[in-house]
Amino acid sequence: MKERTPNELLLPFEDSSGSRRSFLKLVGFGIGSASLAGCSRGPLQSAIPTLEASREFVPGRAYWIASTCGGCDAGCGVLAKCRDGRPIKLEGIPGHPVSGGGLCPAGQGSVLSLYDSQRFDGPQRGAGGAGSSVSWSDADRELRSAFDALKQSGGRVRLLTGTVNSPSTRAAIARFLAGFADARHISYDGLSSSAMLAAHERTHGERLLPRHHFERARTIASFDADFLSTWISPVEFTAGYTQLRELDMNALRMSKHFQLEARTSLTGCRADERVRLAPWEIGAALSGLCDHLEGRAGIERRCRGAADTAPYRELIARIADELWATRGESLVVAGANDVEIQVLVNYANELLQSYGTTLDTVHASQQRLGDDREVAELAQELAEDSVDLLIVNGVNPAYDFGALLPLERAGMLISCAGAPDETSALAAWVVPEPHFLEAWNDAEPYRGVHALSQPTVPLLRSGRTLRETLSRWAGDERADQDLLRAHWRAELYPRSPAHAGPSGFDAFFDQALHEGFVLLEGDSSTPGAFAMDAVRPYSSAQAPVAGALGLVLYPKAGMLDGRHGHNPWLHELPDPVSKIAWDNYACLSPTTAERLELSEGQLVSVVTTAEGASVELPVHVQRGQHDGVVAVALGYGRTGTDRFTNLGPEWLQGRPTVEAGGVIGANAALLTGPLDAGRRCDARQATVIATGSSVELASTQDHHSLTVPQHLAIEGHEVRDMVISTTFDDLEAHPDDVVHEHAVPHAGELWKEDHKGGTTWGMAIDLSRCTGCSGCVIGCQAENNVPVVGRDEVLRHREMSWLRIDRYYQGGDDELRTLHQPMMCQQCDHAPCESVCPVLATLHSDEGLNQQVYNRCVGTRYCANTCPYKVRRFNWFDYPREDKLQNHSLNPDVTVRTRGVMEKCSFCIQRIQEAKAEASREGRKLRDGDITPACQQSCPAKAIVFGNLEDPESAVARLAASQRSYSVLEELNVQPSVRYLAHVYNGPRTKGSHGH
Amino acid sequence: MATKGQVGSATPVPLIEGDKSCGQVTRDVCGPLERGPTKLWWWAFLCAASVLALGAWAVWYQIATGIGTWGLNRTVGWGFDITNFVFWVGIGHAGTLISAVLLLFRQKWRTSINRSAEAMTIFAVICAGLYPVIHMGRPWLAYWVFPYPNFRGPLWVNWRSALLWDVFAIGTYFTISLVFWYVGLIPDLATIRDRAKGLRKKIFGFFSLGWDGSARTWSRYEMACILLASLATPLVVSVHSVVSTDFATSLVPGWHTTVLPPYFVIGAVFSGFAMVLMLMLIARKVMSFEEYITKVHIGAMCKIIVFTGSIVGLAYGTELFTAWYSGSEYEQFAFANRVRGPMGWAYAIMVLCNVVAPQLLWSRKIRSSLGAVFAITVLVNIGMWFERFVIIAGSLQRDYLPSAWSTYTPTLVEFGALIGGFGLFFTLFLLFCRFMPMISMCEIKTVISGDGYGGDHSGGDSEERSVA
Repeated sequence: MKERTPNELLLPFEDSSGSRRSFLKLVGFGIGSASLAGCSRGPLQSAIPTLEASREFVPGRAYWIASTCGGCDAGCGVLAKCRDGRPIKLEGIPGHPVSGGGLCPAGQGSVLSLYDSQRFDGPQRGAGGAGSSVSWSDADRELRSAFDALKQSGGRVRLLTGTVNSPSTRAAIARFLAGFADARHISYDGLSSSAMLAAHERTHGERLLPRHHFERARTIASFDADFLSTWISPVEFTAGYTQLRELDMNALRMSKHFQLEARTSLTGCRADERVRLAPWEIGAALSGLCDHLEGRAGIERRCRGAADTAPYRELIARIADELWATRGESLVVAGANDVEIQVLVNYANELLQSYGTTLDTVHASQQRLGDDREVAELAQELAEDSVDLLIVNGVNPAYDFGALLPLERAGMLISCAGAPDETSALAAWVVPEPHFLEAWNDAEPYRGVHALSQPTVPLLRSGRTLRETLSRWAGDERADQDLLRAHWRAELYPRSPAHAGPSGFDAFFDQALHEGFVLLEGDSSTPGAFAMDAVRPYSSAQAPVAGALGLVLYPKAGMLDGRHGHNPWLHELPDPVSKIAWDNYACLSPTTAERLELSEGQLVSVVTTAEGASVELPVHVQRGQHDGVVAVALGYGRTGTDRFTNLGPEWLQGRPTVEAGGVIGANAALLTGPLDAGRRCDARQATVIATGSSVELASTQDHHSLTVPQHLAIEGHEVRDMVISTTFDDLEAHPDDVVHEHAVPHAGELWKEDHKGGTTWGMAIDLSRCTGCSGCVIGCQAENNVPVVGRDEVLRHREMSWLRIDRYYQGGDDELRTLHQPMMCQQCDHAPCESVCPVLATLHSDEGLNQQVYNRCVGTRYCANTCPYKVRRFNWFDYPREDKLQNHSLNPDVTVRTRGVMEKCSFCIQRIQEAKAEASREGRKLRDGDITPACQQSCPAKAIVFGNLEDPESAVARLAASQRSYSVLEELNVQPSVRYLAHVYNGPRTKGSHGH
Repeated sequence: MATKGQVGSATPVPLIEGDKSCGQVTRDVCGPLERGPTKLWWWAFLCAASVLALGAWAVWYQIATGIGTWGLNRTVGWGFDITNFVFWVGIGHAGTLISAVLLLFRQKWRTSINRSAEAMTIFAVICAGLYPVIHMGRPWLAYWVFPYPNFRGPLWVNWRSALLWDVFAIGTYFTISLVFWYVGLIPDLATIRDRAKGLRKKIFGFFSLGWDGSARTWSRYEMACILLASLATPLVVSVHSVVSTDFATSLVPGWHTTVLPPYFVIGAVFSGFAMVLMLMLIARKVMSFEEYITKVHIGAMCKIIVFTGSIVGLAYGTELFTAWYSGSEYEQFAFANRVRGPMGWAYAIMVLCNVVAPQLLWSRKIRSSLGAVFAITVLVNIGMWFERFVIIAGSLQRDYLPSAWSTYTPTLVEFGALIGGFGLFFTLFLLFCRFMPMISMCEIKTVISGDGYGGDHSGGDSEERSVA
């Protein structure tokens, strides 16, 4: 099988004997192999240079391969943009039944992990990294003989995976495990929703996770569920949620969103009403809500009296009223991994008639199937030394559980990790998996939604999917693709309407490959009627003991449970709320920080009161957080992150991103409690002890509010109006007043408008839709080859992102309102940067673009100084990649900038040019929608619209004409081409017509 | 003019002390050049050259590694670099003012100091010109700012950019100053030539352009000086006005204000005079020129400093008033932030040094205390450096969008480039002291009270006279 490792072929520049001839051979190979892989003509066994150029694959032109995102288990559909035989960017499949076309930061960033040079290249014997490479045939032979011995002895075999929603893989697992006497498949999720499944087992008789339809929910009550950022399927939920926050004047409608939460989540930032609710109060609040709803439904009172003891009594009553008023179109969700709480959530939803409308149990979700109880049982078995073989795939239990799951006590530990991780370091064997972009796979994120994905590139590192590996071990020698096809032919094809038609299986399969998914009926859950007996008011929560704080462990956008811990893009992505990159930290509310005499950056030990487990972290003072909790992000402290020591520039006063031998952040998973209590339940307590030292946190924002510092404020100008915010009722009553008071009288032009020639590219950004999720930020980074600069450079405010999301807090901690504003080059018509450049390196195009000419730039930085939006980015150093292999993800359409030149958002001019060329080739004019910049493409909320402002029919021109439309710093008369649509939240009329 | 060789004061005081004869002036001025350097000079030179070497290393390191070795960031794009640039351009102004404007106004007291003031101008402009080059991200392409004919399109420069205006303003200023200085030097170079032997004679002979001391030569010389002075005079106003447009024509609150050109010009004259006075106080000590640079000169310069310093104070008040009166929230905030924001300490230094300290010079007692005057000149130079720092980095750090606000912390490399400028300046100045007549002999001879005006113009006393 050694022919299957064409890694060196993709590194022609590292080939010392790289002559022109061999280079051409390699190019030919790249194209040829991609076409073979892309056309599903069978597994690639060997490669020869193409003698005739393929007609399908033109060098320099991108082609797209449908796939399913592997960034998390949500199963968003992606199109991999491939150039010259390798994928360089992922984009959502428009209209995909799960994601709808957007993509989150983790999804956007996952293409970079493909080019991680630390990935395993073939099987390893012995601890990961320190082990020795073995050929696949030798590994299979040795392992099969070991398995045979286990079959003889009746040894205990456990397969530990994450959520496996690939039907063909599940079949392979079943076949493999069937050979053993005592074999079990155990799954868990790093970010567990186990309690939701367990709660439905109690209330509906079936362990299932319903599908949440936020697009149907007119009233949403969320208890600590961060559904717009990290909870289960955030891209899908964001798309659905924003559908009901549509504020076009012809269809004014807006859902009402209540958020009751302990930490300040991105979802909380978007809520219409947000209150701070401690984790131990959620049960009581939910019981109170159910009490109210019972009363309105007029049924037997199971939660009688709970409303009187609930926190926020009046608010809870009002939430109940509003939910009840829209019953059938309401939704209650909770993030807590606590079965009792989730039973109450189910009860509330049942009372509100959500099942069948906003909650779908028939086409249930398979995005999180893990079961915490099974892991607890496995821990027990391991502790008893009774597991003879443990195979780990798709999860990193050594990192997630630490000592709670004594993996080293398994008789034999096999890790299927694609790259070295904490678990593979303990494993006797590593049988690596390929990256999802290199492999065949299928998935069923929702019952009836079957996703199919194919390799976009020949294997860069030798790896085998779990399906193929297990089949091989079970004696099935078929190639992975054949296994998959066989499964689809036998199981799925008969259920498709095409089965009756004449076209046959191949056409069905090719169609599914082309689309990336197929919808099939006849595969659904059949939950029972709601079991009222399961419901009881919540009782078990306890407030923290004196001196302790509630401990909230939360996932961070991008980093999630740590699976992206080696991805530099996602490390450098500022957290959408805290705006801090390259670290996790202990969040404390301002009041609590003051009480504990702690300030930003001071190092503290967070020690759990129950076990005394501790991690050392810097303090982040987080506005809007509950005073009684300390919140810590999961996913940090991954071993091997000392690789980032060499990331970023090295110079006299430069500091490494991470000290040699250190790790980035600290692993907060070690603070999770005993497994039998349910993984990562928030009802834990910790004390916070200052260590005396402090560090600087790499924040991209220094000032966090639109209100200027008090001692510098001029009367009447305390608050700046970059983000105009109003309430829904104000908008309805006086739509013209929203931006009117911010309008600036226009005195007329001194210059004649010299470019209005039919095309002025512009953008409209709806601040009511934008959730701040930051998918666009990573999308822009991938599209435009934006370098990663490292922690020290971020600390020095030299991050390179062309598109940033400004975050402003308004109001106190109790009524905190958080505003997000994507900010990129505004492509001003009267661009101040253009007039100051001495060498004409930044110019105005006749289509209204402000163009930066890298070759001409001498780097005076005058343009950046004079830019009122501060969106220009200067190349302070050369920024080579920490991992040279990652250069392969560079977009060949965009210049890699050299040291000493200025750069900035170009409105993705390469896409504009490509669309123009395409239109010209087809002999037609450009149509509205032909051009989609990377940020717009990535946006799940459809908050960004690009187009020609001069075409009155274009979507962007219509939005720009909206009553909510304004431009930032209009009074400067720089005439930006980016229009913002005022932020609106669903609230009552304020006294005037404008709410800040 | 009241009495020849005197300032028009109530009690005439001789401009040159010690009852010098023309021959003695020549001997006093040429002597140090012919005797070879003193120990003090060597020490001073060693110090200056070491600082220059450090600065050269800092600049080399920065060019080799990247502008990132400076403490600038996405919000503050200019810091020490342009501060130093404006500071040094300002320093140069006094030289032109003294040599050109005072010449046209026939201020005889200028004769003792104008030569070194002009030299100072040239060296200051050299230092100033360095920073805009090294502050570029790609300084090896610095020649792109010149509108030279080329085959790249052709690519042209942006005439709307104030940085381009700078190129021409500074270029013109340097050229005129250099020519003016050199033309003024010719009679004195001839004097040295006449006293020298061997190679020295050849070199000075070459540079004195065949000076023969005839009446016709003198007449042409004086006409050339008057013409060049007339050319240079508008530059005193124009150069720093153009430099101020770097800021005034941009959109940054705190920069975008019409008061900047006069504000910058008066600040330049102010700082320039402080620098000249400081150098004179050092030079008269080091070169033993106490009799040529007397308390009369020092007093006169003190008066100019207190006058210009007061105007600078007025300018500071004006910009605060204008910001308040403008009604623009960003403008108002920029100045509130300048005074009370994170760089308020720099503003305080600026006001103390530039407005408060020079007011002490109203007192005759302080004016006549060399130590006090020296201290005040140093303070003014510090204050004027901080003025530019406050305007540049202080305005940039917090402009429109609060999300983009930032701070600025200079790095060691930047400090290296800062002191390297002083190293270059003093190295050049010490070399000048060593190799050139730092007092204009021919002009001094017109103001000595000794054997009178109209004697040996051509330099040298009668015994040594040998006209070619």
